[in-house]
Amino acid sequence: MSEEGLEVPETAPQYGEVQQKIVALELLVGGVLLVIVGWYTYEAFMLPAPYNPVDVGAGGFPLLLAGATLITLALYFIECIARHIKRDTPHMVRTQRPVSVLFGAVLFVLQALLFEHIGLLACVAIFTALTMFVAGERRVVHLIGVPIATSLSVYVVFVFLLGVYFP
Amino acid sequence: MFEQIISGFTAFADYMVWGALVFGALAGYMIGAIPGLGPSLGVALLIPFTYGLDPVVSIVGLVSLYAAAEYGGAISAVLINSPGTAAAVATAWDGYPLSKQGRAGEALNASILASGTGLFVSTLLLALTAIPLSEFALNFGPTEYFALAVLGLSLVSGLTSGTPVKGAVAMGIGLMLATIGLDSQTGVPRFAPDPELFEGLPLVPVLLGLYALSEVLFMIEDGAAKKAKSQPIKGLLAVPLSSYLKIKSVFLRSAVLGYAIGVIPGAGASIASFVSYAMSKRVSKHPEKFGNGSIEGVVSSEAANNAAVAGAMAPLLALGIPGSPTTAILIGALMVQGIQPGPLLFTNNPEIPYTIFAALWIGVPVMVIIGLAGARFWAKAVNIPRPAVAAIVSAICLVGAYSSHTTMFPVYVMTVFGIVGYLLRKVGVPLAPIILALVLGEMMESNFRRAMVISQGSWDIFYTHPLTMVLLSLAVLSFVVPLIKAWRIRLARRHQQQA
Repeated sequence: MSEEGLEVPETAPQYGEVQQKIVALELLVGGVLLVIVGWYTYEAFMLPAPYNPVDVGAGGFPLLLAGATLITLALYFIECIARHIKRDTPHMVRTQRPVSVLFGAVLFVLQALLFEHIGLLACVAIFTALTMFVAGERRVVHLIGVPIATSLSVYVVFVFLLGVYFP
Repeated sequence: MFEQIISGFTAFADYMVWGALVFGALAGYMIGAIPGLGPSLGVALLIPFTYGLDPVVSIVGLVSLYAAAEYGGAISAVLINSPGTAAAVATAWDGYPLSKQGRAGEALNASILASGTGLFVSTLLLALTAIPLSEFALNFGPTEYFALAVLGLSLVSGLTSGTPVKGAVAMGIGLMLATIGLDSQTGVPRFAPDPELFEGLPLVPVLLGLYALSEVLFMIEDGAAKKAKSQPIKGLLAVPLSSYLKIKSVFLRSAVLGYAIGVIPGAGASIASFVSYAMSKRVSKHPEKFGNGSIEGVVSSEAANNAAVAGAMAPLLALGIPGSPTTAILIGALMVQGIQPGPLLFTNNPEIPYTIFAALWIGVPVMVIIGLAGARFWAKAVNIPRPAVAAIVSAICLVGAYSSHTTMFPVYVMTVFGIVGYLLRKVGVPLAPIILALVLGEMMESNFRRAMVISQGSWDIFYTHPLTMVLLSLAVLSFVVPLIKAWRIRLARRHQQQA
């Protein structure tokens, strides 16, 4: 699994591909993180003072973390903007098949919400088929065979062999 | 020590341990061979299968998968020029040219034997260094432990990401996530609006979300790829051993180098393979062959990246500090089993480290046999349809997260972290520091607070202990050095443009 930056120089987008300036995404993610760290800092302040006067208490370490993370976030914003200003060509983040990715994320949420209601076998079979479809699989035999095999394998391994109780 | 190592081998009297070793090796080869998957994802996916197993059986399966996946990356690198793991990139530089010359079998044979040699030699080094290191670490106080955790996190954050600042942000996020739940000393709930969070974030669902589910979104993005054209495998078993004897120094040097680099938190298998490849090229009698189909090139890369597996185990077993994302996930697996890695592991649970040594040694012939016998099959694994892989990974994530607590809460956590992991990777924020911080956060906080109580609330304690000072200084350097390096490169580029 590659973890290096996925940014590329700006070129003409290919069919079905969305390009977004990396700086815009970086600033958006940074903004969301800033809000979260802000809430975290407030909550850390609200934690009770330590009973032991020499202890830093429940909120001491989180406050230190919040301070350090706010400093790194400030550096992050400076770096993002500085990089954006210095570059002649804007660097982009490419997302191929963005609609499919969005549907994939929606499928994850739906399977989490419906798992308890429709049960293990049906949930795994239905969402395996849907995930394959969203990922580009169009062969009917594969769309039927893989979900059935997956749900049965999962059932045998987790229920029979490992004794896990599922809804 | 010798007797305890022998006792590690006695674990293999149990057929379940053998079963875990062979299953881990088979699954590891498969996962390593499929481009895009890798040891971290493989180990994370296997954890749900180990909940009900004996800790020794589960750790043997996980370690075996880790080592085999690191090798499996070479298969697709050699046959289709698409490295299964980042550590196999250098293998492709010579492995694929060899394949195009009709010598794919020779390249695979060399890579399998190099991987085996790397793993064998590095495990020997692991046994020789981890035990004294853990004994030395028994003298550590809370400040040293705190500083060690800071150093481990800083090295991983500074080395694994393109920009150290993004690594530091990831580290901050991970540490903040680690503080969620009841405060271990006062019992006060922190950052936990729901009682389900009182025990903290469940580690396995977070791992599954960040490493596996986010990868599913990347697979969806790639779509159904066309079948890669694989080179025919000829002469897999017809390689004269005499040709290897001529380059035995490459095998040994790469293994030792790989181990040494693997020990450094954050360096990992890919850096080990690149450094080893560069060194072998520099000292080779035929440097011109490198990049055009050199067996030495394949051997140096593969021996080093597999040796790094044992190297990464050294800080994990001796100090409880994971040096790579995969070892952080392994720590999570051990913690699920109620085992705390660190210096006391050799005293409290000696069966774990010594069985790991034995598993790595016994794993060498097992992996060589499975690798050679199944080479044609692993080559076909490269072409398993990507949508099917994505759907199966997603299903295992769902079931694995639910099984961790048999409630729905971990499933929601896994889903949230899957989507967050995808977004973070899109903007180049590395995930490894988040996982490491999540694993080390509690240890860091408890030692920090203990140190503050010992010093009566004075900060002097962190700069009056020499070892603590050294470790904290190294931690600062691990951020500053990459920044200076990047600045110098930028300056050099500007000078070039002006010239």
